[in-house]
Amino acid sequence: MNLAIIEQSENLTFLSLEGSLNLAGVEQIKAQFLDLTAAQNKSTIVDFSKVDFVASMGMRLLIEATKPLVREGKKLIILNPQPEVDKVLESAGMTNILEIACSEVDARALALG
Amino acid sequence: MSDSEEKMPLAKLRHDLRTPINHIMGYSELLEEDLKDRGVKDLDDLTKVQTAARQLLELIETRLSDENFSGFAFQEAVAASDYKKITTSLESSAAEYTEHLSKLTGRILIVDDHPDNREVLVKRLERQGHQTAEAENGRHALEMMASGSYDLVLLDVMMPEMDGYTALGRMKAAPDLRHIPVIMISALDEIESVVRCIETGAEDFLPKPFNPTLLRARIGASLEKKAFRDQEQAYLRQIEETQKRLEDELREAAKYVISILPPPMEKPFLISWAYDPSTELGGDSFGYHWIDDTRFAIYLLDVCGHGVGAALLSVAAINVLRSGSLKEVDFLDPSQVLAGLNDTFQMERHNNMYFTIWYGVYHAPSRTLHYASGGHPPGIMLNTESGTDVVRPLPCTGMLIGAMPGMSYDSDTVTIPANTRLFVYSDGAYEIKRPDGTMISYDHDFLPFLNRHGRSKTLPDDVLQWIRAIHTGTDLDDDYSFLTVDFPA
Repeated sequence: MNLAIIEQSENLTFLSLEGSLNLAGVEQIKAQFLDLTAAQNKSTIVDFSKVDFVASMGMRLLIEATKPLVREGKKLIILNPQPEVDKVLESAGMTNILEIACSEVDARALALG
Repeated sequence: MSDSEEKMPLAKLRHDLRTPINHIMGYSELLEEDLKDRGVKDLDDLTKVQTAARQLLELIETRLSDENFSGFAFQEAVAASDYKKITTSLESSAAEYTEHLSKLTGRILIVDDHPDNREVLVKRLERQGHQTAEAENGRHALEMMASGSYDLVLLDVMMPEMDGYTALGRMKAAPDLRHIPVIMISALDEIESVVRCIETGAEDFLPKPFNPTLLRARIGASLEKKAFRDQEQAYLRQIEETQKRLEDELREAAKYVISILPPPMEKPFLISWAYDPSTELGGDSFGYHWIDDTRFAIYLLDVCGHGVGAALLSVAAINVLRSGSLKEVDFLDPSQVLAGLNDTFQMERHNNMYFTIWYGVYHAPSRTLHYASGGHPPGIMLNTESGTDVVRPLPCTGMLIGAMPGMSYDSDTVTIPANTRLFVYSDGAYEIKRPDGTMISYDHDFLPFLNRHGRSKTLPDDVLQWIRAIHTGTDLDDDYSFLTVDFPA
């Protein structure tokens, strides 16, 4: 699992993930990912186009990252998830707490809107 | 001659002269002790020998000192001075360590065919605080070790009946004896035998006749090693006992988790299931029961992760559903049940764990199924339409249970035609990795499999076999639960 920082500005964090968000993948990035999301009071876009699988532990990581942002009125936006991942996020009801965007323009609009 | 000896010929000379004098002093002291033990009081001649030996030592230190030999080069003098500092420091440390070792006592078996040798050793060792036992040959020693407990064996090499070498080999081959340290006792000309014994597992050797200081130091060092080894064995036993206890408790817990799963049902619905936790304890659980005369509840939940923590939350949640014990919740209404569970099992209060659940209530008179999902894969209906079996997921998305407080949950209702089969399952039934690392597809692999084999009487087991085969037969990564419910015609 790889985590890359694309952009860090005053109002926005833009990250990219690559790999499988399973138990092993989560262990690899958990601390850094939470530090860049839950610990920052900023809306965050996460490019999910190269994430091929989200297991239950990956879902838990997304919840832990998103909840503090939601409490502060900020958002976590998942950008371009693959169809199977999109389905998993939808069926888990994750769209109740996070946003899904199909383009970077939409993601930025949601983040700053 | 080593480099250091070449650089310090005077030191080497002093060492070579001191060694035999030390022997004279050592043996005369032993003799003195033995004579005193035998009641001999007139020891004047022996005292003269000891005094002369001490004078010789003093002469070596003073007459052969570095200062008296100005012929040495400056560098050699410096080297000798450094050498003295180092040796003084080492001697001081060695003396402290020897004192520490001399305080260690134990039960020592002395094996020697000469009664006099045994007697001298017995007296000396008992004077040092050890307990002793004697054996006259290797066979006798092995018999004694079979019935008694010893911390150390002093073993002579040459003995009748069974020599020390053979006895040592037998000891090292016996699991109960191999941990007892053995010091070989031998004449200096038996050094080749001693080397063989050390290679076979003897701890050390003591040359005969015994130097009391060496005897004390080597016995102390062996007893110290034995004490460390005993401590290590005790820790190992403790770890093994703890591990066994944990395994027993895990097995008990696993039995309990399985015991609360309902037995398969035949009437009025045919319900069958398969359950396969990925570790000893799984996070999946399920159940079904009549809520009243006409309404039948079916539910399956899946706690994130697996293992003890997941199983505890799973059991707690399933018992709430079985007992219908959620405050102000109507268990006929799936939306209320999920909202109640969500408020009760918030992640922050449950070790940061959430769960997904599918909950449905079948109303027999109206043949309707009222259901809701908390982040769980959809239930699937199998119907026969125009003579063909068709699988249809029942979409209903709701938030995972425990992720966010105050969530509301939508529910839906579907009519159940005759001969409908319902599938309820955990994501472990289809989130399966192929050997090439890719995942099987819910739409393109899982649903078609159910479409083809959905009427199988053993479908829950069939699906398990199928995914195991895809996963190349190794243990699955996630817990597996799969229920089929056949509604009557």
